[in-house]
Amino acid sequence: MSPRKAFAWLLVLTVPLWLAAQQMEAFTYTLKNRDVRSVLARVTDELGPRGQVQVDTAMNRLTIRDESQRAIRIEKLLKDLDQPARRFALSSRLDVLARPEQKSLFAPSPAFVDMTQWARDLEVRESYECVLDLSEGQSGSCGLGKAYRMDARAEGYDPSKRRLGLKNLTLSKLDAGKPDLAILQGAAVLPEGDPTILLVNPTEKVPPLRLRITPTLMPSVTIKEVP
Amino acid sequence: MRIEEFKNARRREEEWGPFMRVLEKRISAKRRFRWAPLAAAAALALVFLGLVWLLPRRQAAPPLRAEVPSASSPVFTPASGAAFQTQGGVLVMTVEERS
Repeated sequence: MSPRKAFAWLLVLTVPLWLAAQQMEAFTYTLKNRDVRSVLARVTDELGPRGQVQVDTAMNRLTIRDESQRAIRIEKLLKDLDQPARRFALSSRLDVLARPEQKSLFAPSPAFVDMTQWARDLEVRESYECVLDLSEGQSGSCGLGKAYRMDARAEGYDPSKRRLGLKNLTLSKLDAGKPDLAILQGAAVLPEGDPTILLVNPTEKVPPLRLRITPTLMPSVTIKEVP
Repeated sequence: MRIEEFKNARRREEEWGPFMRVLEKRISAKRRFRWAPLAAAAALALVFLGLVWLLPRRQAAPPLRAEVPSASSPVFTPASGAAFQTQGGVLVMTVEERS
């Protein structure tokens, strides 16, 4: 077979396949375990340039229209997301570091790398650990020694990216007879199984802190114990 | 004559006595459990009514509203101040430090 003929055959075979892959496909998915609004941001990430999503909050369902390959991927993502609330163990470790000699960390250099180097080398004065047992959509708190407390609300978990959302993640300093001082407050998205380190810059009231949080997905126990 | 009657009565007693006693026991047992089918039917009706009451409520429970983070969400978004992703972790600057 001549090369020209082989190329022609290749075109004849691949072009219909390529066209089929580019074809638009629509499907409707009704979520059983989750509110449709809670997965919308994640689904929108996966949409292609020609993709469309239609939301029916009353029936708790989504209608997706996208290229075939993407539509298949989004359907699989929806199946993975639409699970009952998962449980997580948030193991946290708080290191209270020694105050640096200079008043501001950025006085000698504005580079943030210096700050991380500084946090790595600094002496750890105190260390506290706690484990927070949370299900998606639940709030909880745990004490880190007598002087600190961590509060968090677990948001949704994305199994495809292995990332857990935390809302109102708060690290507070407790002082007897005084209102709690929120040192760190915000929303976090943490990788499951890997530690995330949050370095808190020192202020007059608070020493430099290093908070390490590792969320671990707990297995759902469905097998009965063997007597 | 009276002796004959007495003998007949005794013979009847010997022949029918055990049978009658068994029969009596069976009748009393039946009487004792005569409410059982009714009780079972009532229990079944209660279970059915319970399910009718429970099932719509189970389905009406609101679905989980826990936002799944989008792929572009940053590791930490502080409520106030700023956060910077660095090699050693996320550096959180409080408002006090920023000002």
